[in-house]
Amino acid sequence: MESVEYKCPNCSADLKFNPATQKLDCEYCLSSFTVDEIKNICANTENSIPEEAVQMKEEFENHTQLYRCKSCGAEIMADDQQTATFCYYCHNPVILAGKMGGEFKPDKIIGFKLTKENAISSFQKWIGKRWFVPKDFKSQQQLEKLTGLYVPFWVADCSVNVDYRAIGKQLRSWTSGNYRYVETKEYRIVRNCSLLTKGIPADGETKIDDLLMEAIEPYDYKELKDFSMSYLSGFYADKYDVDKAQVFPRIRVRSDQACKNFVKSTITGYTSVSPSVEQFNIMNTNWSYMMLPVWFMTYKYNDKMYEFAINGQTGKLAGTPPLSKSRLAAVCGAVGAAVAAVIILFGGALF
Amino acid sequence: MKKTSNALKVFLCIIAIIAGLCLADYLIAFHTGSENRYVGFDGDFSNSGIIDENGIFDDDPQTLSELGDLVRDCSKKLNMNILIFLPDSSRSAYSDDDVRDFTANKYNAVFGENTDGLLYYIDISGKSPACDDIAKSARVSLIFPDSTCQSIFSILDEYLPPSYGPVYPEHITNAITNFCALLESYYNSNDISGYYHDSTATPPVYVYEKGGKTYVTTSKPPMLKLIICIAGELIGALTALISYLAAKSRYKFKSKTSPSIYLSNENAKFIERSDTLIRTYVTKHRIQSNSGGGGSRGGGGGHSHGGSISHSSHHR
Repeated sequence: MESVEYKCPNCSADLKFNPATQKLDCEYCLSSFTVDEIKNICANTENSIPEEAVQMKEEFENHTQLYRCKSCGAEIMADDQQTATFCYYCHNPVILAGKMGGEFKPDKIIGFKLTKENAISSFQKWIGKRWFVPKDFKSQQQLEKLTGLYVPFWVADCSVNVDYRAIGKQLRSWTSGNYRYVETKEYRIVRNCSLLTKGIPADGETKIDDLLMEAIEPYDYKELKDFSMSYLSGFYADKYDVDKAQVFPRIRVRSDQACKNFVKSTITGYTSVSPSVEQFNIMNTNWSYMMLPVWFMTYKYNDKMYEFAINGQTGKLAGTPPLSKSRLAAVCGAVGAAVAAVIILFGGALF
Repeated sequence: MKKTSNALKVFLCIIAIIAGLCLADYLIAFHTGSENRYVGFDGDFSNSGIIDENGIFDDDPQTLSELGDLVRDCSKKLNMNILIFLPDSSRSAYSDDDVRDFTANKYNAVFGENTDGLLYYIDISGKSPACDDIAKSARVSLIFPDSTCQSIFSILDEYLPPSYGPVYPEHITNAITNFCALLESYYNSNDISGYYHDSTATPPVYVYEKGGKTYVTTSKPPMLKLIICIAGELIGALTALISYLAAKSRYKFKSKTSPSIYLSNENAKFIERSDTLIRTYVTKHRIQSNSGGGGSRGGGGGHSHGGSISHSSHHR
């Protein structure tokens, strides 16, 4: 099986993508190369370099490998640099299983901007405010599990025709003598418009919680680059296992919500608004398939798996912190006991 | 299986905590407290009687002597000191608090602190309105609570003249005779409940009965202590529960990103955007008027005394 290896042109050591410099660095001779430079240097091995679509597909198939975790069944895509690795879901070793089809080749990619140190620092800051997590959750060993992962995303631009009609009421009241008067003005509100929701992402990965991925949005698409295998160097990557048809309902819900919020923002000055027609018809959708950077970590506590994700571009963090109920109960019990003691003491029950 | 075991563990833990609290409450309520200052009645009823400072019976010492015997007889029957005080005009300038202060100190001076007994102050000083007062000491505060004393005052109003009217010895004779009879009829030492707190005493004391024994102490009665303990524990438990739930809520998943960020104003093209007034109407309703009631105001005196004196006062 062939593999893609990005070797330093100077010392032939492995190159790794550095999120801080957005370059591929050699850890041995300290050389540094841009993605474009490496594209030119590794033109014969980089599958994304050829412009012809067929060749590109074949190259991608040849230089991308599929691992399957025997423990949890997760499928993980990575370049040849990761010959022995661990499943980022269950942390068990995974075995090279086969090649990945060329249709999984992403159109675009956003490289990691957040280094692992930055991610750990961000995570420590977030978890520092939560006193009742299990002790080992903050341990260095746990922090080492933070894994850089390129998650496959379907990103949709939706053209939406909006037909919104409602009755809006404005109330004005005043008092005269013994009577309270209320004047009601009713308005017919009409909003017909065409809207374009741009860049709504939906992860194409069943094993990662959709809400977790939505919580670390948004990504800055201005930093999108044409996909190159070199960005994957030093990170994990996954292929999609949910196609765009399957994610479309999620996209539609979010697009409708965005449109609804927008339309409502144009309706002001009413005491109440009662919609009679709310139609948001998606007329056209443009899809992009891209890899977006996520620092990912899992933690197993009391037979429950907790997932954490940090946006590898912006540093936005999301997840459900594990709660050590016994520690929390002990502290709250102590607080309650102190309150009770103060009341009993100052209430004069002891004297 | 593990969940059941955990639930059982939590249940047993809660039972143990409740049992521990019950034991602590019992010990605090029934086995803590300060010295019992109760003296009681020593059986000497010779000091009981009538002090006629006013001199209303100066012309009829025989009646005064008979009334004194009546009072002592009542004192003997009820096992408590009884003193009836008839003030002269020098006390007409007394405020109600001054009267209560005087009766408390007078009782303590005659019978001693924390003894069982009462002093009935029949205000014939000329003060208007007249302020009759019954100063009760120790156990008598529990036997004759304020409600009983107010009933006695109401009945005695039939025999005593109003403050603006002249006072004759017959008024006082009738009042004292009926007062002793009323004391005997209302006396029921077996039906004592609750406690009395004398906050004006130095130091403030509580009077209560426990196990057939009377206590005059600076510490609270056991039942009150128990209530304070239970209230403190309930408030503590509530505080613990609220802090638990509040802290736990911080361990929930953060809400997802609003999709509104994917739609900007420049990507909106309006075909129709209108707000058309279709109708206007006015409704009216009558305002319900509410009238508030007046408040009542009460005040306490700033007097102080020793022992454990309670008062029941009445204006004529």
